[in-house]
Amino acid sequence: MTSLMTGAIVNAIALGILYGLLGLSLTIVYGAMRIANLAHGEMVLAGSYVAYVVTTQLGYSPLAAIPVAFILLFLLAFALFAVAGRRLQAARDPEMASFLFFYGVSLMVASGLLFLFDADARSVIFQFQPLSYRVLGLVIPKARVVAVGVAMVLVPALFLFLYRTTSGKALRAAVMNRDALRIVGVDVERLSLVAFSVSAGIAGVTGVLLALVFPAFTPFSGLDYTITGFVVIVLGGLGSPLGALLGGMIFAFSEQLTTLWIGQSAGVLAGFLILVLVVAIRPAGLIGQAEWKS
Amino acid sequence: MSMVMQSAPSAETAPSVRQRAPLFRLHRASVWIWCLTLAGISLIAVSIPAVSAGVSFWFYLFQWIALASALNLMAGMTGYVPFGFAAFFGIGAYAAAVLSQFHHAPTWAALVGATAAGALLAVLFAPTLRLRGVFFSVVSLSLAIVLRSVIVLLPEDVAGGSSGITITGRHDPIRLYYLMVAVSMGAVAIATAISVTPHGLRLKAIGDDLDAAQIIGVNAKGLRLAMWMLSGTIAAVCGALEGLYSSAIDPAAAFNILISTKAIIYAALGGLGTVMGPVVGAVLMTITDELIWTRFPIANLFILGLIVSATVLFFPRGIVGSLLQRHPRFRRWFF
Amino acid sequence: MSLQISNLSKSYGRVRALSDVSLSVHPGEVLGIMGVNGAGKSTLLNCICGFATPDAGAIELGGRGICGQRPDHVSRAGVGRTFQVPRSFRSLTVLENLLVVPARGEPSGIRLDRAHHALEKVKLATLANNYAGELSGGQQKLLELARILILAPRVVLFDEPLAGMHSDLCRVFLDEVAEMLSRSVAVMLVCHDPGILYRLARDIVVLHEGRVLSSGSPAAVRCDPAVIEAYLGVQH
Repeated sequence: MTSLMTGAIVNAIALGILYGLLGLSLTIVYGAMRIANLAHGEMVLAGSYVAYVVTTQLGYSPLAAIPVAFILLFLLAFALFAVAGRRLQAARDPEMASFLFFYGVSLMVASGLLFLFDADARSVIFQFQPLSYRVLGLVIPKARVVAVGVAMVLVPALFLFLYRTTSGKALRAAVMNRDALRIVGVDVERLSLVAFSVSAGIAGVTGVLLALVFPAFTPFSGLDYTITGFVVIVLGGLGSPLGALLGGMIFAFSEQLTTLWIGQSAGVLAGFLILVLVVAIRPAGLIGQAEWKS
Repeated sequence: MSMVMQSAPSAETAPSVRQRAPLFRLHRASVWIWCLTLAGISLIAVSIPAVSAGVSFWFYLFQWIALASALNLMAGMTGYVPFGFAAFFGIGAYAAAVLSQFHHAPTWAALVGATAAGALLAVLFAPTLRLRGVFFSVVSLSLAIVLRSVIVLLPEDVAGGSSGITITGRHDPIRLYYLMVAVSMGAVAIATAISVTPHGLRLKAIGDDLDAAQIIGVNAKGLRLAMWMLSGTIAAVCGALEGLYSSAIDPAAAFNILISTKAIIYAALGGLGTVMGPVVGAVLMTITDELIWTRFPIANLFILGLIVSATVLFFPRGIVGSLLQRHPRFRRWFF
Repeated sequence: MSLQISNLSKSYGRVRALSDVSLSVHPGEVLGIMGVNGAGKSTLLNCICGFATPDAGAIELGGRGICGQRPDHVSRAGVGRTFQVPRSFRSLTVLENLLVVPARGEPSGIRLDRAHHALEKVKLATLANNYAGELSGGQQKLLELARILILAPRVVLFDEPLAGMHSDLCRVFLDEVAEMLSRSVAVMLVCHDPGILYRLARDIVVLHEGRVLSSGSPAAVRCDPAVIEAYLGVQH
């Protein structure tokens, strides 16, 4: 029983950091630009398919898929935002406009994946050496260790970017006041373009990592990732990078522990119930800004 | 003293009381034309079963008109976009199916039960109206997912469990179709009635500036709650009719988030906040959906996505909304 | 109906926006509120009309407590307000901006007559069918004034009503205030310009850093050394 418990906790930590990463890239874009990227899950999924091609079809290590996924999604998002970004942000209600626009994009990406890879579930097949580690009587697949390891490098790097570099600080400032940023001479348009593309790139990398942790994915898995991403960032507080990480951990822990104690279907329930409870008590999320609540 | 400052009307002003209620910017005839159009649509709808072999396409056409209009009552008129709209559809479908299959209720009783369930759910979810923007949307979505999981967890003889409920017979599909036509026309009529009375103005005012609306005495909370109840109840009735019509429901289909997103998209493409928009959007998109399904089965989703994205970029306020924005003279005729 | 405020305090985090403020506005009189930016004028207005809940103190309207009530209830109780930056409903026409005010059982024909009449008074009749979003800043202020006329409150709070207004438009405003006073409406006037307050107000309250620095007749306030030092010091 205790080893089941330890297993669940290890799983929760692994998933928590990946969910956090999922939320992190989403919250940068939503917080700074008021863009509700409903295609975020599909971008993550595209990353998973890149991993599938690189490993299962071509036989390279999943680590090789990481830069490929980043560059591919960076470019895709760059093109998308260059075409649509200005119009979306000029809309009377950017949130609503971007929500609809990216819903359309999510349909296009999903049907593109469907066209390329069929509707069957795919998974990343790669023989790591060794296949798994034994720690404290637990068998931990190396794939999972690799995924968490990469996330552990990526998350601090992102935080360094957001809190130490000028562009990162500008992005966080944009969460609070875009106009003020314009007045002090920041090129908000270019900042948005780069931030959106980077966010998509990270989504792609997250997809590679998730493919190592989750057994299989289909062209229709994107929406689940999008929902998880939004739940995580609302839980933590919109626009707060630390909140996204915290939200990811809480969501993963509640999911894993409830699955262990009650069962699979209750596990799904728990995360969402916790979200509802948290928002009932703190309407702006755990680390949210007060002015965003009603 | 000038009567402007008088807060209570007095008997001397009786002649001007006779003056008819103002329709605001609208031309009075426009409302009549719109009502006649709706009557015409109903007439065509009612004669469909006589001339067409199947009513399935028409059933879903009217279902989407009803859902898009119901969603617009909330999303368009108050600015609260409920991702979890599908929860109402699902609870309605389940209430009708459980009543019909497990308790042998006749059609009318199943529908009454579904209406009550929808209204009850709206009351239960009402506290979420304290939230705003994406917070509201995501929490409402979570509640829909919670509700679906709860239904799956219930014993099979209560709600059918994860495999759902198959309804065995007794519900005449043509009659259900007529009911769906009635519900959708009812939903549009409600939207029209709200829009041509001061309530419509108040909802727009809340959307423009909540504080300023409250300070002139507009009960924003009450209005929002009323729209929420209306919107949810209509969706629940739609769910009930669809459940009985298709005679098989399961948790995944009844609470499918696509019901929320499609309703949002159809309403937004036509024009959120307008009365005609959701009708136009639902009709156009249901037809487009049908056409591209039959012509290009593989590219179906891609084309749908392309249409959605392109419309948002080039007609950000939807078809009707953009028309009104670009041509002020239409503002007297379309709403 | 008079508005009585006693010992009102409100803090935002560590900032004390209002501390122990007491004042009263009586029917047929103008109470002027003066104070530099950050003196607590906006917080005071927000507390009265229900946008903010005070930490301590009481707000009474005609002897009835309205403290902590919802803005629409305060409005119903008879308090009207304008905003420093005018807030009209952009997507409604000018006329609709007046018809949107809850009718409280008034027949719609009478409401329409009154709306047209109010627009004539504030010289916006020709723009009745334009969208409010198309109006200039000064015109939007007049539209807010017309909204107050329709609402016909017993107590009106004007927040910088004359800032940035053309002198012709100022006259419209001053005429309406005179008429309100003759109908025993209680008026609270927040204003930067001491000249106008000295002319209109029966009493003036000077706020400074959330406290009442001085209060009394214009003549008394004018000569109060504390005011001269803190507020008018530069001019003397």
